[in-house]
Amino acid sequence: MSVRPQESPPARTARILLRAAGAAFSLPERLPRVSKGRTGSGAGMDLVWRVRTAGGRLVGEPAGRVDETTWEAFSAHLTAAVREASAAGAPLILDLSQLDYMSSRGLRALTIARREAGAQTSITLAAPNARMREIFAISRYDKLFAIVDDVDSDA
Amino acid sequence: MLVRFWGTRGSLPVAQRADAIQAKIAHALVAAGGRRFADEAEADAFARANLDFAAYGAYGGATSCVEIEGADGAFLVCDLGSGLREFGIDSVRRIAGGHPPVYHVFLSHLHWDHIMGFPFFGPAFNPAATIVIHSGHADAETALRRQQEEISFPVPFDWLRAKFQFVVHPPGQPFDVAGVTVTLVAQHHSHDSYGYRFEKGGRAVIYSTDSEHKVENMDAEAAFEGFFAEADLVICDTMYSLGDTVSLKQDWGHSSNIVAVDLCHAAGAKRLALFHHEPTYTDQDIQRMHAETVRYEELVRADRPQLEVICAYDGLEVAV
Repeated sequence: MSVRPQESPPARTARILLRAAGAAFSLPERLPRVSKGRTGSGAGMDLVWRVRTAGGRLVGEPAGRVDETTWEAFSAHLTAAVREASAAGAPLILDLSQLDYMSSRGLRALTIARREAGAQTSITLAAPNARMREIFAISRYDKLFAIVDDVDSDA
Repeated sequence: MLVRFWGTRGSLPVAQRADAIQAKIAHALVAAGGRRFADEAEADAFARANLDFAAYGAYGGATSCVEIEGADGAFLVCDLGSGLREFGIDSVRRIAGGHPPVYHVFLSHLHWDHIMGFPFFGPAFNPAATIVIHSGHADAETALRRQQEEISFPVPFDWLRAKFQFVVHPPGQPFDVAGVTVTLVAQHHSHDSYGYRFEKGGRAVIYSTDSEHKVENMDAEAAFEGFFAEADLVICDTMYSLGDTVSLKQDWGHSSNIVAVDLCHAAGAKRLALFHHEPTYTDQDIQRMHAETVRYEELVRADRPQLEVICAYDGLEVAV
């Protein structure tokens, strides 16, 4: 089974509105949207996904952990966020401060998102905890993605 | 079962150069700090206790060849890489001690580094020997005959004296070889590759090399989790970093240490052997990769039992 994320209704609405307004390079400030991923049977933990806009950037906020039981939900949310950011011409920031860790499934979901984003939309990984920093280093993903200490930092 | 690694290097055989040996000796002398040793045995004991493997050992440079001991009256060997030469010599010694001259070979695939030891396999010239080549590939015999042709080697296949048999197996259908149950799984690699599951006496060993787990096809990994299920030892292609497999070395047909750990975790496997080492890696590089893999396993273990991560080297024996 493969997951082919559909554009979420809010993202579609935002894209249509932005296009209609000719404002392809700004996103309206709005409250976070929250959705939950599948409960991990082994980890016993939900993946919670929030997305918000701030300072013209789209900020995705995964919380929990990404492993073999939650990666599909993570990848679907992430890809939808990339499409939303791309439609708005906005950079995507992934705020990892509430993420316990991600395994290779989550890392590879980042690669899928990067491919979806192409050259036009930047993806920055922000505020990973110490465990995630180690995982980025061991996997060498720290050489593939921009990683910053703070969500408000520039990549 | 006893797993014996005769060749663990990927793609191309490598050998230690003088400067690498000199660096190990210099390192050992500094570590000794002026101590005096009564004899070499005492010095050996000190070195084993105080030096890491990269300093007092070597991972070796022969290409893929892994023996699985424990079949009834037959040798079982995975792949015919350059490590096969040493295995062949050792098997002759054991045949002289009464072991039957029967060999069952299990080919992951037909690329050069996995068959290059065959022209130097002494038992192929023994008229009393029986050599059965098991493969998922219908063209395994063609591959072995082709590399014996005159343009590549002076001894044609038809000059070999052993009795040969080539058997092609479909994936997913277990079969018995000398009391060991064997099952194949199809893997992603150029011209295809196959992994093997060996089971005997309630124990299972997996041999899965030259297998790329594609980033856009992660759903397919459930099949590997099932194939690795509850295995006592998983020998896994861990040639590159995950970052490399999704960027520069995408579609090169290999996997990473990170994915191997995750597959073993999901499968409930007990022990992972890192295998098919990148030929450009020094002993220090491989040792660092091993340490990082042990650490990664710890970071993502959660509430699972510990997966023991070992690093294969030429000469390593693992009891299963």
